[in-house]
Amino acid sequence: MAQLFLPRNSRLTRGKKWRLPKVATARRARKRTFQVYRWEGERSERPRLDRYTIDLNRCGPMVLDGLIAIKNTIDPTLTFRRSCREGVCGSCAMNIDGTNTLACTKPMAEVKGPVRVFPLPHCRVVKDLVPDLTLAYRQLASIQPWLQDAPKIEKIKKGARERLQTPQERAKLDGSYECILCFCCSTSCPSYWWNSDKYLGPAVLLQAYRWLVDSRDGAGRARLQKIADPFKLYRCHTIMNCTKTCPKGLNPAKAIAEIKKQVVAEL
Amino acid sequence: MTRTQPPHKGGAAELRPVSPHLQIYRWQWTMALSIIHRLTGLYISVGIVFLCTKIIVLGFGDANDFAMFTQFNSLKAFLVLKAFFIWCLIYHMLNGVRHLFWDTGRGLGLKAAALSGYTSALFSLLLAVLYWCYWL
Amino acid sequence: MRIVRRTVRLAGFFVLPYRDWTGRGHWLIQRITAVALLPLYVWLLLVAFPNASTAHHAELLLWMHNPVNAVLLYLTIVFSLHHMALGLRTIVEDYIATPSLNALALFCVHWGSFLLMVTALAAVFRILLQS
Repeated sequence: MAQLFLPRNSRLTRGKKWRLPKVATARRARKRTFQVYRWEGERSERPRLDRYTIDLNRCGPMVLDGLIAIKNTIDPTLTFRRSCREGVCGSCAMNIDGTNTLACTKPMAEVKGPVRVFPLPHCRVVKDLVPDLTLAYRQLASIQPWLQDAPKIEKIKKGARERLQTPQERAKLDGSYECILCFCCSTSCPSYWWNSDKYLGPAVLLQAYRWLVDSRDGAGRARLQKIADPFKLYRCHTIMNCTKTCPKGLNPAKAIAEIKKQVVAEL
Repeated sequence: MTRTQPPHKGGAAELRPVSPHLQIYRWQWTMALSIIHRLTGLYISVGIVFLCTKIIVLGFGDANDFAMFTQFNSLKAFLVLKAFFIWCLIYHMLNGVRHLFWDTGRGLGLKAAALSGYTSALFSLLLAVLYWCYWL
Repeated sequence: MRIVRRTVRLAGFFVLPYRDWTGRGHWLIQRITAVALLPLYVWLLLVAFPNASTAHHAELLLWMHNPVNAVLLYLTIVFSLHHMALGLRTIVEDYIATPSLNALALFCVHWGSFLLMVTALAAVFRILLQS
């Protein structure tokens, strides 16, 4: 049965409450509460929800700034992935206030009430807010995201030095190449929650579309045959959580619909 | 159908908890309209099976066997079930048209999808109420 | 036990009239039946339900003797059961992960709807042929 309910070892227990650190400041503290999912690896038994209070005067405006302030000033054991802090690397993808997004581009001001921070949904948790994305990366590798069966450069035109592409052909890649592989979309998809092992998920299918629609790639038919089975592609029921949640404004649902059209037309 | 094996089956990975999903994910129009489409489909399936049973009893049974269905019709609870069936049918049909539209590749932008979703939901309610007034 | 499981799984896949179990076939037929069902259900809601839903035994037989009604009703049943079987199949594939339960559920869905379809056809024929 699809795990609609969390298994016993995943259910949340009551967590600790951390106080605002007392620092002598000229201004009155602007308090903000964070409720953060914690699981400290194999040492702890069950995950818990810790409550932190931070002073907005002493940190930046984004949720990631808040988390870093917590780690620096209150609880150094809080663990999360982060890198670029500008929304281009995809490391800090997590569930904030109920939706998946990048912590570094989500302003705290947009969240009403306590900022509830959870790891990406329905993933094995490595520690605190760090999800295990090995399966997702393996699925990405399975669609072979590289140029295949491209015509040999010498055969295109004598003296040619690159495989040319018209601006119109290049425009087809817009909306898929910008994906930063944060996996916010895949982990927002209920179909992916129930069938992560067999369904590829919107992120991987968006990349599959990127290669299908690349005019330089010659392996289109083989790619389609590989993904057009009842589970890899057709677990998508156009729920559209993916497009709603993409922090880069991409549209995986549209890409998947285009793949389905290609399957009907070409296979 | 190949299965991508999750890493380290057994051992450390099994101890790791699964992050909460339905428990914490914000309910949005996207998943709400989609799950209602599925639930209405299920209810219509029950209705279709009922309809088929009625036809089979009509074809193979006599007036006495059929009297059971006439008895059902007089129950108030059955009226409610029928009315709900009508709404489910209309909603599923309108949302189904929306899905067919999506299958042509159009209307998949967020704004367009939200608009079409709310429109079809409201319209289904309107048409259902109209139908109830006219027929029931 | 493995033999039983394998037989159940095999039997679950054996249903007429189509053998295309790839996602593409299923998806296409779901859409085709959906398109076919749209006008049929409009007819059902506007014509069939008001006239036939609360009718008594004799009235209903008379109504069904009209070949147009009988044919349209039967077409509605056929396409509905097809669409329903594929939809239920999707639901089973989505939520039931254990292979044996999955196969059993799919078997019940497909055979159940197939038997309903055949029996309903027999019933309709019987009504039409009776004077």
